[in-house]
Amino acid sequence: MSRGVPFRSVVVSEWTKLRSVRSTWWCTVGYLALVATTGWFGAAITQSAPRPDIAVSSALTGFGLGQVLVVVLGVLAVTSEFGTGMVLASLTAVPGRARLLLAKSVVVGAWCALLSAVLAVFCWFAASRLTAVEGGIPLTDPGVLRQLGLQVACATLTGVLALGLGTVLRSSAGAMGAALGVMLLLPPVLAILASDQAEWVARALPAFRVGDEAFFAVQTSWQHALVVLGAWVAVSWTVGAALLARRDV
Amino acid sequence: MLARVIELRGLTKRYRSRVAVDSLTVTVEPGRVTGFLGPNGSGKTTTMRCILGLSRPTAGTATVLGRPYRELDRPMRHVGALLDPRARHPGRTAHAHLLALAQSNALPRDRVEEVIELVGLGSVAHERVRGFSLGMGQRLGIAAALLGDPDVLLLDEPVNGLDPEGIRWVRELLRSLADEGRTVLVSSHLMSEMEDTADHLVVLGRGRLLADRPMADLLGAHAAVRVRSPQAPVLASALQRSGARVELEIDGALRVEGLDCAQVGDVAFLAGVRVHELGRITASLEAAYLELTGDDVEYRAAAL
Repeated sequence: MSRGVPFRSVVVSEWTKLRSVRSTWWCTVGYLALVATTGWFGAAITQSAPRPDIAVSSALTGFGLGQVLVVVLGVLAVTSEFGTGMVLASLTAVPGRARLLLAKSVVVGAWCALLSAVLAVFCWFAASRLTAVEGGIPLTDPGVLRQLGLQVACATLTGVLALGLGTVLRSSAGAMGAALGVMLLLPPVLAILASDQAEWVARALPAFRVGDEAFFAVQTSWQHALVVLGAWVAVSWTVGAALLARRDV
Repeated sequence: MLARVIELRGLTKRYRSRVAVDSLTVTVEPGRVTGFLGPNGSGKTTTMRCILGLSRPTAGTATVLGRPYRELDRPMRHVGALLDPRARHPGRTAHAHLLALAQSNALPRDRVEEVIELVGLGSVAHERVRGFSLGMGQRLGIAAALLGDPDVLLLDEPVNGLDPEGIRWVRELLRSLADEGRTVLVSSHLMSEMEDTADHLVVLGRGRLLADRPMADLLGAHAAVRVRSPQAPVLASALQRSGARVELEIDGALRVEGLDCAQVGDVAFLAGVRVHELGRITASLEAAYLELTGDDVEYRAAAL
């Protein structure tokens, strides 16, 4: 490990890398536009709701599909290094490979968290304007806060999961396919199968979630979903870091 | 001074059944340009990757400044490397590429503009590198290597794709870096590039060390004396009696190895032979190199 360079410097460098390629901005604009417009329409068609958290839920619908763009962003942040040969320069500059991956994860995670937080607040705003709830929809309502926080947490973890899978597979197409497969494709397939085994597997998969609801998937509690997603992140990241440390580039 | 060197001890790298680098033991000294030569596929790049910690040696060690590369603090301040002109994201600008590298080693931001000017990319600093020619790409790679003002430089085929002006610029740059006391290791598969640049040569063939000696030595070992005499047969046998190896050249002159000009002149005088021409011929590096690597070319075109 290169102790001489403060970790902050590596993070700043990774932020420069992320912001200086176009794909980051395409994903960012796409994510903001998709989630915000879907949120606005979701709120507009929900004229009234019995509780504030239910009202906010309909405004958060866009987060489900929006996470596809989070996956693309997270995967590309690492696979573009391998795809272009940039990784040679990166690992020569920062030979501590786990350190490099950690800095990258911090940057990708923080960027996803920031965008998602802005979007969550926007969705709350849309709901509070367009959906009638007795007593209004205060941002400080615990149910509302939980729904919004859950979106931010899921999107952030999804970004880091994509990054981890990208590190393991080192291929943009492979990693995007794997991430979207386990998050978007398999959960509805397993839900349709509706056998006990399929349900068991479905509960172990990280599925996109919109508030308390899983997106076209077998329902689980949000606590369960967060733990499963967190475990996937931890495993893919650890395997990715171990492979990165061992492999020749 | 001692701490500046690159040290390889029994460095070996095996890929499945193929041995890319075969127990290489070399010390690269500071203050001179060391040419790292060998045919394509002889293990030069693999060796450099092992030095930089990008590949893990199968056996042996590679250290820079007395430590494995991966243990260096702020490596760019100690070692500058140009490995592959494609080692960058094509969508990034030259400036952003260098800035990200500088930041990762906590180097001052001003250094980015400095090296961009130094390599002559000032006018395209904010253009995406996708549109760069191979020569511009090499200049960007050299800029990255110089960012940390390092004591040790490793450059893999730096003049590939450069125009003649660029080649001369690289030569002068390497020369001045070595004169400042830095350690410069520069690889090439082309002799002619090295002849005017390197002071010392490390020659590889099929991953094995073929030579590790000063340029002058290598050339000297293949130097000879050319002598022309109307009584060539008499002179030839006189020279052979003195222990020289003598060959008849196409034009009738004799090529003498093992004696210098003065000795050849003396032999001729004692033998009473008239001499019409006497001079030293220096082998070209090309010839010396071909002789060294002749049996060790990995990829060779079949004779027509």
